[in-house]
Amino acid sequence: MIVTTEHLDDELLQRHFDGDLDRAAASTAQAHLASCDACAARQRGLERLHLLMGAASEGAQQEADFAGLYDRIEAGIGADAAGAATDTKVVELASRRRMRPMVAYVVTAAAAAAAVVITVFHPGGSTPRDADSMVAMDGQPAATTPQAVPAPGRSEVVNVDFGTSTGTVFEISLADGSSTPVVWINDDE
Amino acid sequence: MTPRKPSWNLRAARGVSCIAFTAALTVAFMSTWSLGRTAHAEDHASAAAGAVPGEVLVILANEAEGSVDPSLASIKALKQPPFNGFKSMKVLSRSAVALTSGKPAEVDLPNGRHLQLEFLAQMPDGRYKVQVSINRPNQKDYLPLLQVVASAGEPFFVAGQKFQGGTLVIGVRVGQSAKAK
Repeated sequence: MIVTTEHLDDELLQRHFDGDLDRAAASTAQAHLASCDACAARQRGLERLHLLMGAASEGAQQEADFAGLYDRIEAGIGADAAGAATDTKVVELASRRRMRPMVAYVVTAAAAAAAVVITVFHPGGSTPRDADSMVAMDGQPAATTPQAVPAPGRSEVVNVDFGTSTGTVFEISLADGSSTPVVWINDDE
Repeated sequence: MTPRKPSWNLRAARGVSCIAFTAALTVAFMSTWSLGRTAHAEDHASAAAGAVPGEVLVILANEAEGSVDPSLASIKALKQPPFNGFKSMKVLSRSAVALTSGKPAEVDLPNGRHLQLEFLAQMPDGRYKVQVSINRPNQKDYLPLLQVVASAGEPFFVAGQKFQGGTLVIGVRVGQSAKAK
């Protein structure tokens, strides 16, 4: 049996967890796991993640092969207890035809999260212009919603040319401390 | 625990079922992800184009007894002097405009004049500098130039034109207030 001192990279660890390694590679990986606390901890992390994802995806549970999963976990626990490398985690070739349950859980969670994000934040889902219109679309008074964030600065007239007309520029002070500029033009027509 | 060894047919069926399940989820995920990217791209395109939403509200105010359009109830400035001297207010038009620098939006007024509203710049504090003019076609005799630095979503008013025995009160709003963003 070959015992390597190099840490298992993520891909190799994942393939070992999934039972995708051939017997020789699996034995080597298992031997390293038996002697490397860091990699063994990562392996246990994968197992915990697998269990959490399974619990979070009730629908996927119906499709998952939990018998095989539990068998593998038990085999892994047994291997840890023995403290030696064994071949118990090598999955037979036929099982490779099965879809990896973990992949199903990850895809399920990602799809659900994406659907929620798109539903909540899709720009077509709300009509901010209507909500913020000076006049309500249905002809009823627009809701007076308090400012979530005060508008920076205040509106002000900076330049005006009345042409041949005459007029006045003034401000209407409101109760909330803000003001509204008004340009009043005298119209002789 | 004795490992259960399902028959080959059962295991094959499970495999096909799992693959179909994963394929369906992948399609759903990619579709929603694609929609999200499209919407995100549209937001950025709109911002890059510099289009700022605006609104022009034309009101006919009269000192004669009458009713005030209930849709104006939320505009506080209209309840203050000198506007509270009008006994009736009727909304004649409401125009949503998209303001882009260098491309004035034009709104026809009921008295034959035209209001032009042009976006000039966005100030460092977020306010919008806009330019307004009100004139008859090919004339510049009435209000050739008005420049306002307006807080987003806060209206300002241009009033005083006579029309049908009343007075036109024009409300202009640029951008959307923070509450609508």
